[in-house]
Amino acid sequence: MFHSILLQWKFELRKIQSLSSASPQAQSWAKVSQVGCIGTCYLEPIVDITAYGQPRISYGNVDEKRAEFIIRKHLVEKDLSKTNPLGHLGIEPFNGIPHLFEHSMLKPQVRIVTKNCGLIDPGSINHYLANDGYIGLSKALKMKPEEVIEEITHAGLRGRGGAGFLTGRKWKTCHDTPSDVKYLICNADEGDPGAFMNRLLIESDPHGLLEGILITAYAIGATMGYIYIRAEYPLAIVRLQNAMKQMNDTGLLGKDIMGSGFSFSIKIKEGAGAFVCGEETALIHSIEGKRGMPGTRPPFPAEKGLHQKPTVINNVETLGTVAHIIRNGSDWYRQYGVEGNFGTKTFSLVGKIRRSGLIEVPLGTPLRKIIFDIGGGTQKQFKAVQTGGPSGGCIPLELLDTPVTYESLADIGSIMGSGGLIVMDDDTCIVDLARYFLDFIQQESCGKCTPCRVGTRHMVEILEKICHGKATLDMLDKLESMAKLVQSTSLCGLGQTAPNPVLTTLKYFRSEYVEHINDYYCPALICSELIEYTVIKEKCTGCQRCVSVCPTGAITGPRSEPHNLDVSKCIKCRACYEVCRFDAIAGNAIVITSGKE
Amino acid sequence: MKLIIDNKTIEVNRDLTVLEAAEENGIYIPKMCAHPELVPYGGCRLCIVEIEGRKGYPTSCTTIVEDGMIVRTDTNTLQDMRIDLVQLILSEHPSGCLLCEDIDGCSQFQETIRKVGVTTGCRWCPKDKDCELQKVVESFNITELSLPGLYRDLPVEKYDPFFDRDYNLCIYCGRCVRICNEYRKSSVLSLRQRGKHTTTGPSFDNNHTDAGCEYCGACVSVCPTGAMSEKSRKWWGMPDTYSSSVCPLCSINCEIQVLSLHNKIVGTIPPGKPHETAGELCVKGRFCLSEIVNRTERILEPQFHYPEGYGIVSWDEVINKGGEILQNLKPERSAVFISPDLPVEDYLAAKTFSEKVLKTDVITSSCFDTNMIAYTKLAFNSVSLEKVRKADNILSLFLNGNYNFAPLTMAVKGAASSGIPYYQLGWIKDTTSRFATQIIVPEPGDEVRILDRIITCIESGKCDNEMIKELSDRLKKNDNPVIIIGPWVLSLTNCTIILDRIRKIISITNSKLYMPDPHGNLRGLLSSVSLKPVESVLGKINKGEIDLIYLIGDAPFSVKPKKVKHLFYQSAFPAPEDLEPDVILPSTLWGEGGGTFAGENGSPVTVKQVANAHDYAISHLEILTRLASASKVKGAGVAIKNRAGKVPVRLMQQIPDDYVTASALSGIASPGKKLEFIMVQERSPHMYMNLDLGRGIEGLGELVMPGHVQINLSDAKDMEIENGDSVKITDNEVEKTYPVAVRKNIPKGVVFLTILNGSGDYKNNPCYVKIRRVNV
Repeated sequence: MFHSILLQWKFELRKIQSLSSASPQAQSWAKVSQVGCIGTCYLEPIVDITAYGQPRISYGNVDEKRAEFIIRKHLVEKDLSKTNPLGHLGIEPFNGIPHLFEHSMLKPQVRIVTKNCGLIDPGSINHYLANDGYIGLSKALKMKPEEVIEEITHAGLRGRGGAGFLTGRKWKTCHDTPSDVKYLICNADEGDPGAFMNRLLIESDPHGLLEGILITAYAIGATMGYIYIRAEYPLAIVRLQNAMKQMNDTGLLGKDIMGSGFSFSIKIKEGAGAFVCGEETALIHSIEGKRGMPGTRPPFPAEKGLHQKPTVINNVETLGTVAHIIRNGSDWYRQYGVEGNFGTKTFSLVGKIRRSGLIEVPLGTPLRKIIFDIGGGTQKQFKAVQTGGPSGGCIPLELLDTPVTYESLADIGSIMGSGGLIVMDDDTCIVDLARYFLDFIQQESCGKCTPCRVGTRHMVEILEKICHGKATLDMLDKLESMAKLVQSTSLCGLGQTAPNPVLTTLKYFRSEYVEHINDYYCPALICSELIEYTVIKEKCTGCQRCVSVCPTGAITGPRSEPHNLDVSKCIKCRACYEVCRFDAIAGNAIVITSGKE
Repeated sequence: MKLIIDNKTIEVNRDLTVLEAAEENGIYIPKMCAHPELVPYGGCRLCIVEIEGRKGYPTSCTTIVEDGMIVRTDTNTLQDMRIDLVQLILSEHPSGCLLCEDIDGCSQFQETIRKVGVTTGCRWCPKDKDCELQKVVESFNITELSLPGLYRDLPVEKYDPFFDRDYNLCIYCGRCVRICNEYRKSSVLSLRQRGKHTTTGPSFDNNHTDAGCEYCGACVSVCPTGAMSEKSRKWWGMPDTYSSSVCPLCSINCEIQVLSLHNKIVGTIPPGKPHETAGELCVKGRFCLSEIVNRTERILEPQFHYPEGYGIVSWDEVINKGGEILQNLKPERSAVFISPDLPVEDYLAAKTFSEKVLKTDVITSSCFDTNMIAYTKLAFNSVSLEKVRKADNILSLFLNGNYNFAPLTMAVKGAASSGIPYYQLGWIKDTTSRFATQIIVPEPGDEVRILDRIITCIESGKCDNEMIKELSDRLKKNDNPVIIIGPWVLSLTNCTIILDRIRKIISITNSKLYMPDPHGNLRGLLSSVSLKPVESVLGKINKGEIDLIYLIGDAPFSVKPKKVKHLFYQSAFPAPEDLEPDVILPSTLWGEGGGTFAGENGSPVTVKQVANAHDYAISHLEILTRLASASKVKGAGVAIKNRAGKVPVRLMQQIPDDYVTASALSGIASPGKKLEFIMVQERSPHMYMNLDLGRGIEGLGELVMPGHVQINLSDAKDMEIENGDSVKITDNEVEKTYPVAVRKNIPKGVVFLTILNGSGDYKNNPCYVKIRRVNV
């Protein structure tokens, strides 16, 4: 849709240009350029207009009709009274329009790594340079590598890919290991389904990442770098390639960068669709051309990694933060966050949340603030939030005061992960959710070690039995003990964290499991074997809306007479339920019930 | 270094894993995927231990010992977890019999009705009683399966030769994949797909042969369960005897371990512990030897050609009849053809027999032609395999390493994988080609010209080609450059010229030479007998100078030569159909008798008797002794016995100097006008006595496709040719039709044919040809 908006803009502008040739008073011209994403995804498509002499004004939820309206009003008639902008990005107050960053989703954020996202054109190195770009690099090149490492260590930066390992310590290990060749790998595999933190950063501010890569490479003494990026991010790849070309042309990449004597080159390596390749040893094997299968650690990659040489692997977000720390100093970074968890973290706020998108907040912010203040809460009753992607845990309402730090989340059985926050309300079946994520993990298991390959399969089978109403209570104990076995004995992080959704949901939502088993009751009305659809004849208006959407012909009935639902044909697709609820003529007559006997 | 395992203090003075340290000190830790030849894998997770100061449960097979480490291997938690892990494995591996209460009785004889399907029970698994999973389960004392079965329902793979694969029994220990990649360096096997669809096998939809499998059997040896099983001894159960012996099929004479049951050879594996040893055997030594010995097509009874036809007779009868013929022989009118694959004892016996009974010194072998003489003389300069392993530059010419000379190809792969330059010249891709820095597929005639250019470059410094310059420099200046020539050169028209050039190169450079010989004991033969060139003997026969021919394991003609009066045929394998010998004497084969072979470096090796002779076959030595007695020559029998007992400690081959290679100085054979394809033929390097294993062993035939012309896959696609089609091939002088085998290891633009003798069907080898598909 965004593309059609863009075309619509260009079409409208041509109309304006033809208008201006007809009437000199209406003369007006505008340049259209693309920017990245500011993170307020529920407001997209967002269009900013900067008219001459005015600040930049942001408009949200722009569709084709609104595009035509806004152009006419803003650029031709120069009358903003009815355009309903989101806010302005200027310095002085303007016409009673609030500043964009006063918006409730943006105001609580501390945007360090996302500083430029949505504001600059990611295809322009000049935009980047005009916004403090490459100042960090030039500062670093004047320092000694050991000093750069010291600065990052003091800033307390921890790996943002999920493990939270002290970045400075990893760099130091690599720096201190003698070798003729060292590598830096940027992990842009981002396999968590629905996670897009890294994608947003790369697509919106590729130079931000690249500057961080250069500083890191300089600090550890790397001669060559790889960006391992998943093939499912073609736009990000193109933007990186363009940015790298610009860097080459300006002497920021290759031999003798900025005349400092430091030389570095980068290769982009695309992934091939395996979630497990986000694990660092599997990623290294993938670059080496082998099967993307994790290996044993020790030895750690910082000592013996790619081609057996010292290698640092850092996440996109970690690297994207480096330039800011060096530019502003570690003390500046330490003002954000809490002891042991300094700085900020990006989170993707998705699911049943009013304001979905990508945010950046200081570590230590309570979950409650993120979900209800920034995210605007849920429409229906909040049920749980899952942090850390498919390997993360589900956190119930009672624990929402937990601050987002690596330790606090681990204490309650979850993980920080790469920053996914999936919000659930009463319409989410927690058992089905656990089953869904475990099934994903089982499909992505590389098959090398017994517990992950076979153990997760047994767990999925049990969960499917529970969702189908074919389980017995003792299976819950089996599920739990299998989960613990997989967690303790798996070879790599994928297997070790695979049982997290199951273990946390068993801990905090055990009653829901028991209800599924004993009462054949799915409270969220999701598990298809446990629910039944009924037409309430008294409410049915006979409008036939449901008949027209039913794919199997399970609902029948003539116009103006109450319809019949044949349960044996019903595939529980929800189509009739949705249309009966929302269509104006329908009578809200279809109910889903669960629980037999 | 000191560490404590289960309260026991252990001293360690080298780098080893916790698992190794425990095993060396008598502490048992269960394991499945660990293997002494392989890098630690950490896949099965059975060997988990607790180490103080480390969180979680690290695997002892991947953890290197550190000073002061405190390890526990036997806590209750660990045992419980290990049992759970075994239960997980058992849920993938059909295991009904493992935990049945009738297990003891049933292993002796089936005393109840079967409770498991034939395909899911231990009793009907080829690895029963030899299975490592059985042993692990026993050590845990598990009494019931706690998890539902997730059996995969895969079909058993039987379409490749020599071994079957039943991946329903695979427990993903990864040993086969790792032994193939790390140890044998053939890179055929891999784990494929992921999740519950993970399987083992060749990747990218290749079958084993196209993926480059050498059928070396390493994967079969190390597989802990019945997932891999040898076809030939699948249902025979455990052998009762393991003996060490030596393989007679080529000059490398690898050490092997012979498995026998009730005095019958059931299989051969590399020396060492049966489940651990991956070895360096080739497909022939690994899988074909037992099939050779146990073939049904063996002559097992003596026969005599009466005027009315053949009669099967007793040994006494045939010896008497034979003796009568021998009593009336004129001296100097007999010729002996002997196989180059027999032990030295037999050669000494044959020599004495020829001397005393046949009164002739005309002994030859059908392999011993001009080319072979030149080859063998040059091979006197051959170094040991150890030099090849340590080479710093390798040039390999005309070596078809497919299904041959495995220790040599492994030495090349080992050296090349550490980064040294490896130049391969030839017309086929083999297991070493992946490692080649340069693969040269020469046009006909260029196989000599390249050598000439190297010589020019070395002598005068004039090089017209970057690669020739680099190669020549390395041959000249490196510390240990090695040149390897394969016996394929014997089939080439320019053979003697090529050998002459190589001789020149090694004399003007620092290069060492390695030349394998496809015959099992030609070196032993040449140390015992003064062999005549075969052409001279055939010449004598044609001129009518020979009355009696004695064949020992050799069949140089398919029809009895006209002027010859008597033909003795002494072998284990049937004579060619139209040969019609007068006397047929069935002999024993390798393993049914012992003997000495020359081995690699002149230090002899011994073949031991490990099985009884089949039926009525008796040894060559015994036959010759008895015939000698029956010939009434005084003392001949005793002399033969005595001579055969005196095998020298060192075997020195000799070839008289006057066997000069005449055509060395003649011109390079001209290849004719350039046509679309290069046709190249190779005389079968798989002869054992007078049996071509490529034609005699079905499994090997599927691999080498004798009589089929082998064509590159994309060439075949372009010409719309498939397996099973026939093609007409012509070099514009001779046209012949052949069936087709489509192959991935033939280079584009080349067609390849295995032949039985000579240098093939066309005027030159190699030559240019045109190909046309024959439409049915």
